[in-house]
Amino acid sequence: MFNLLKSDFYRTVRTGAFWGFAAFAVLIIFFGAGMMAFLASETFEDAVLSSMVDTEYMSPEEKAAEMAEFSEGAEELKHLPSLASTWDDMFLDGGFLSIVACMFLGTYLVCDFRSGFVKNLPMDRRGRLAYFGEKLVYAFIIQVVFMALAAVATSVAFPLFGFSFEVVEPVPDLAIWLGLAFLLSLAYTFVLVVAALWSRKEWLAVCWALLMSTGVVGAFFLQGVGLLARAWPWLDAVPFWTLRGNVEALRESVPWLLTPNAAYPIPAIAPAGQIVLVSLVVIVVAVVLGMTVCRKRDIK
Amino acid sequence: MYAIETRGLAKAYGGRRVVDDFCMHVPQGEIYGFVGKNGAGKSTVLKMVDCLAAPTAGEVLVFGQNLQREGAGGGAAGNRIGALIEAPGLLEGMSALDNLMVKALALGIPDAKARCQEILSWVGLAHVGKKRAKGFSQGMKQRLGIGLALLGLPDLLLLDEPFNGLDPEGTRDLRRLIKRLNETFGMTIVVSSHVLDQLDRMVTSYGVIANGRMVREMTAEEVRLECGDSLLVRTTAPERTLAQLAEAFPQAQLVMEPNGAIRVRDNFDSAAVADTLHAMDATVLEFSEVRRDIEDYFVALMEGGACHV
Repeated sequence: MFNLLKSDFYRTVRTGAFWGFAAFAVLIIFFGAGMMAFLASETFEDAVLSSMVDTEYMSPEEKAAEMAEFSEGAEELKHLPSLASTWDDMFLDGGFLSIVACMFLGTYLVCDFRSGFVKNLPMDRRGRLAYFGEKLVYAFIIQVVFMALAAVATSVAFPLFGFSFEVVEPVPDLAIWLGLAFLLSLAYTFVLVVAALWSRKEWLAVCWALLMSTGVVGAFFLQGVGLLARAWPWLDAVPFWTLRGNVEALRESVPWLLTPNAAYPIPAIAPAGQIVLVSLVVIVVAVVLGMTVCRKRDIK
Repeated sequence: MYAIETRGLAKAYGGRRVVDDFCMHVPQGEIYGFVGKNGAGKSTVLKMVDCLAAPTAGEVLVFGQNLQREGAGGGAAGNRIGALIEAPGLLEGMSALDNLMVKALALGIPDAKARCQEILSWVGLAHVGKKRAKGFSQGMKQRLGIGLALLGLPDLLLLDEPFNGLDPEGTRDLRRLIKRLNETFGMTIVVSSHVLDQLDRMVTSYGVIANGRMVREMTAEEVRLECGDSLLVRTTAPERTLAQLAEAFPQAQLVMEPNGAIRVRDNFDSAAVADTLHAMDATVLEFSEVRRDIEDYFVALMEGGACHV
């Protein structure tokens, strides 16, 4: 397996795809920070205020109130609530980290089958165990790399554009938040890896990355469940058992995540415990499927 | 021990058996020509031998080990197989050297770069090692695919239609390389090909597949004998001629064809046969030496026809 990892990393650094996705991730984060900085800038404020002056449907008093509110909002924008919440907004909640990691991994893993390169590797029982096991380890490492990249880029980009954090969590809290975020995004990634290794179809891997790994489908699902829960209240517990529901829980502060919560299905384990539990269940199921169903499929 | 032995091997796709009760025996150290029509099941058999596809029934033994068996019986001979099955599996965005390096690192080959460069020169791609495979011609891709198969210096090399896309020079080079690998390293090589003329020049044994079943396995010597010269004799009294010739040439193989012609094989002397016919005062309608074409011979086998005349 170690040899396969060496081979994959040789290939990763020698092809443009990894660098392309990594550069894209960093650029988007800097672009996002830059856009927010522009929205909080005096240039933008002046442009908005001057457009308000020209507005005819407001009375002078209303205009003055609106302008004061906007100026205050623009000023507030420069002070972000906390580093962890900025990470959450930038790469976790919207699924940005998942989309980058999953798009890269989906296309990378399927390439072996599309090109037929996998036929060059030993595919006897031991060979397959090593191959499919190594792909999961590789996905784990790639997820670490992209997450570290996104966290560092976010932490550098916002201060660089003049933002400050109202609260900077202590290092252990940041580590806990990153650990939980990593587990959740790894669960998404492993599900994608199984979908890619089972289907061996590039279009399916890409669609999966776009719809499932970003949480788009999860968000729709939770919305539906929320509506149905009005009629069947027991459905209120469903979000706690989904990846998307737990991603939303990560918007809260670390102390909140570590405090047992009566609203949770298992109050004794606290929201953080629920996140670990759900993520690990998904990860274990994905590993089992990867090492059985995916491994045993014929290679065409 | 056989390099490959299959027992009652079968593979079904969607309920249709493309390989059925297939028994193959490839002795170690042989160059084995695997012959069959398109769709006869050659590639499917090779995929099962290379563990790319799981048999529906039966088993494949490679150097005595069942590579697909679950549990403790599963062997470790997978690293001993090199294969080029159907199209060469290349990472087209990478250079030829990088393609080889990716596999060399995966196999844990020591001094990988030197080995890759050596393989590139074996397959005649040393001068384009740094070029991307995407820009290669079909023949160059085929050479690189063969290079990938050879990289681990396998004990068993499976080549499925390796002459596809090669120009005459490339075909000759590959034929020489196959013979050299066999002679130098004792590599067992299975070559499935339609190019019978090329097979005839290098293989030491043959297997013929038709409709997913092994029709016949034989040595190259047996094929040469069966495809060898024969004498065709037609007289006005075929039964009497057959009896006279059988008496005069007991060591020869004599077969009467449905039209009354007599075919004489093995250890015959045309002049002596002519003298015998003259002595028995037969009216000779036809007397000709015939060389049977190897292609006709295999076509007859592949169509499931009788191979003995």
